[in-house]
Amino acid sequence: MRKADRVLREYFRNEVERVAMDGRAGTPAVADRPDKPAAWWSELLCYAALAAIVLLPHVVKLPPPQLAEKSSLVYREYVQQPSVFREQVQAYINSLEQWFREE
Amino acid sequence: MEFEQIWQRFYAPLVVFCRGFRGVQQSGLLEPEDLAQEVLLKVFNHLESYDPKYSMTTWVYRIARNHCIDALQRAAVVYGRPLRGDEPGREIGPELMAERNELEGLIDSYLAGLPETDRQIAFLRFSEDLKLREIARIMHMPSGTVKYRLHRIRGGLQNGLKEAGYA
Repeated sequence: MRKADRVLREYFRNEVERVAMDGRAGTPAVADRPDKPAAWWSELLCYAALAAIVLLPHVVKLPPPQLAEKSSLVYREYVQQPSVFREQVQAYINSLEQWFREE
Repeated sequence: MEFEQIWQRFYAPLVVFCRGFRGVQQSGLLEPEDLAQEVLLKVFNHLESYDPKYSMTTWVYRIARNHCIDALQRAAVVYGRPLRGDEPGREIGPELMAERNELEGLIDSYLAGLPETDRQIAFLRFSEDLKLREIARIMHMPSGTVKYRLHRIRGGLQNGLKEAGYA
């Protein structure tokens, strides 16, 4: 049995040496793991961005639907009657300005 | 322990260990070098969970064995055919035979004829010099079974050596 043990040890040692001699045995470059504080901050940043996206429409007030409707009317008139477009746009801008002042 | 130290210590032995899985040899889909690299990355990324109560070698080979089994199962799902098997019968190509001496060829053939579990046990015992209970932990089997299998492996090889006139 000792002979068997010896040849097996030698066999495996040679196998391992062959692999180690292979070109692929070079140590690869591995990027350092991010340290914990950095990971914590980046996570917090992601949550802040997500919260901003969700809360933004509630914080910044958008024009009421009547004005949005009016903007599409102005565009339609620009296509159909370009001559009165300037007047319409001015009226639209005025109404928007008034809305902002009231808000 | 730094990554480079772990790499230098374990890469080559892990390649030989991963080669011991029959599915890796037969499939041509999984390279033992790739598996060894994946295992080492896993080891490096989970260093914090390493329990120094056990030897580093035992821990690494436990990860390696589980990783190889998982990889073979995944490959079997992807490629739709089983890549594992414990039946003997690996073919050794003429190029491989030519680069080895007669005795190495004999051992190679002998190991190739063993079930993959026995090849892994032989490797862990004779290459890594692990104790029976350490091998048992890696292989998920009782120490008594490891002892019995080792006895069978050594006995079988001893007979083979005798028949070939080496002992």
